[in-house]
Amino acid sequence: MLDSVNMALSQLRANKLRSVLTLLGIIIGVGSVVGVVSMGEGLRSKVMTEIDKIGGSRLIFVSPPPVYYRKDGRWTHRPWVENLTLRDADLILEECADVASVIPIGGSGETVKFGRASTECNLDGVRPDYAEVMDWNVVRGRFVNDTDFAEARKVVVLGDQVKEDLFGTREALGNEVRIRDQRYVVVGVMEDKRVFGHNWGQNILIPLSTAQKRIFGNKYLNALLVYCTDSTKARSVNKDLGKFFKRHHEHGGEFRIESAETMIEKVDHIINILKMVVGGIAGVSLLVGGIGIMNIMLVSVTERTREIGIRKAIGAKRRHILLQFLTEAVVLSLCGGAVGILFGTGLGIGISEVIGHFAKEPFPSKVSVQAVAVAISFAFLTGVFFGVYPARKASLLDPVEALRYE
Amino acid sequence: MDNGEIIQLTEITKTYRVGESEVHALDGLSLSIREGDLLAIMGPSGSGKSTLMNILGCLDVSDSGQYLLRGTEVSEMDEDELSEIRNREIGFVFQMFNLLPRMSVLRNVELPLAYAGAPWRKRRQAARDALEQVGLGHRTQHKPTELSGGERQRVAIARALVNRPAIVLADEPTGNLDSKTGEEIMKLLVELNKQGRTLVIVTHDEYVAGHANRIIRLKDGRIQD
Ligand SMILES: Nc1ncnc2c1ncn2[C@@H]1O[C@H](COP(=O)(O)OP(=O)(O)O)[C@@H](O)[C@H]1O
Ligand SMILES: [Mg+2]
Repeated sequence: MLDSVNMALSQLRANKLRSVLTLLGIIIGVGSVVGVVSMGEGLRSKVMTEIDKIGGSRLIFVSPPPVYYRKDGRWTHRPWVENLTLRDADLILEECADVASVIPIGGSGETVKFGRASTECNLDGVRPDYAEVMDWNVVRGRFVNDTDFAEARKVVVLGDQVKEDLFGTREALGNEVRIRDQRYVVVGVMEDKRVFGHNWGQNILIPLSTAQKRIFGNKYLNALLVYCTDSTKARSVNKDLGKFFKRHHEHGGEFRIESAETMIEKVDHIINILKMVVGGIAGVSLLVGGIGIMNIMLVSVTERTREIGIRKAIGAKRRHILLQFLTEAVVLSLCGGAVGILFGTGLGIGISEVIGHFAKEPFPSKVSVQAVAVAISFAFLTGVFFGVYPARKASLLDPVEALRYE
Repeated sequence: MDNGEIIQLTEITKTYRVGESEVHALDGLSLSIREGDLLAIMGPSGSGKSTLMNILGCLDVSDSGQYLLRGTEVSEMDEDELSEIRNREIGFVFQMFNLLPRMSVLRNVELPLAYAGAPWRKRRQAARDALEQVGLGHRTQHKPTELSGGERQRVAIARALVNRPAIVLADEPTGNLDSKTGEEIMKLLVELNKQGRTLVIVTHDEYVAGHANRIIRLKDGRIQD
């Protein structure tokens, strides 16, 4: 057995170029599997960590029906309008079981000014529990408190980026900034936070009551973030929310209710499609590689007819010869597999680097042990499957004929 | 069967068909070989010497006739059984040496034992002993291509001896050697026979013929008397 492996390796070395060319199919097949699965795993773990930053799988995202929808291939305005309000938020807490908190989200793009400095920002109306639930805290000063909310005070908490833009290194707390020519007192500055590459530092937060009265001019919300008491409850809360909106709204069925789970499912769906495409490529590559191996082995059998004759003359049985050539085919194919894994790992890292570069954020590539194992098994099976015919041919050679072969 | 008789051929025929015509390479040949014999086979080219050797060596089977090897009928055996007989009972020495070029001398000599399933340690020792016996104990790690023709043939002889076969068959073992080296090889073979090994040599060499206790001359697949 060990002899056969050695023989196979020396055979490979003896015909380097031919071996590499033959193994290209195997290399590409195994490489693409390992590469894409690694990238997919990376993508998945990235999505998981990002989702964890905003409450993970406990979070369910609710938004009102979009005003425009697609009908007969055209974007069409709905004949009706449904809105989310604070009443929904409060009723959800009352009526739905296993809901820990509901964060109303209402925001608009605004320009905020201080002296001559001004910057574009995203203004969010929030309630006092926002900071704790979103796990996003002040580094200086304080957050919007109950009195601010109850009295609809004109106070603001700045994202670190906005603070930087307006005040640089100077003190921001206690100063008045202007939004739509209204004056707001800075009471706090938020810590640095990034989710999915989005920098929260460009946000400013004011009491939701103030925002609805003075900025939005209505009581409508953009979305609700519903946090379950436990991630295992997400599925049932998701269902309850569906029923809740049907109960309280005429077009309640049209509200969009998305859990982190459904996001992960979407990612998994994309990954699965990728896997299938790559599986196809890998299948074809392995087939081509396998035919290459069969070819190289047939050539090898012919070239070594005399050797086979000698081996038989000194006592090799059919199975010895069969095993020898089969081992060679498998070793050949596994070598291709090994190179393919290196190639695939590199490919995964490369693609991830490119994505990371465009996303301006590190994007991990995870070499999956499972993918490597699957790829190696496929390389092995390819070697066996396509090695059998040449090996059998070798084992059936007539010793006298084989010895006469020049 | 006589005491000490290890091979008994009776009415062996082997016919090759080449296109329309038939060649009777062996034509009703009978022969017996006893333990310790040095049998020389002589005859013109095409007279059936190699065909006879192949049948004696169980590389090939006859079309008809009987071949008893140590009392066992060989003609009826299947390929794997023949392989086993070749492995245990026969040692071959070919005109073309027929060593495996990529393996060391030692590994070449070990190979029959590997196919016999002998444990690694025993293989190694037996191969060294056999190489010692043919005077190549110092060349074990060389590749066959690094050796002279005479040395290669010694390796082949070592390989033929390593399994302690019942009989050693040598088909024109000096055909590819210059006369001086050929003489040394023949001396080695005769020496081995004197140590008790049964030997069949196809040769034109008078020295061997002189030491042979039997000589048969073939012509058209028959023994001439
Ligand atoms: N495989 C074969 N196919 C056809 N004819 C063969 C084959 N082997 C041997 N012969 C013929 O059989 C005869 C005996 O050959 P061989 O035994 O090799 O003779 P020798 O060894 O005495 O020269 C020759 O006529 C040869 O041409
Ligand atoms: Mg001949």
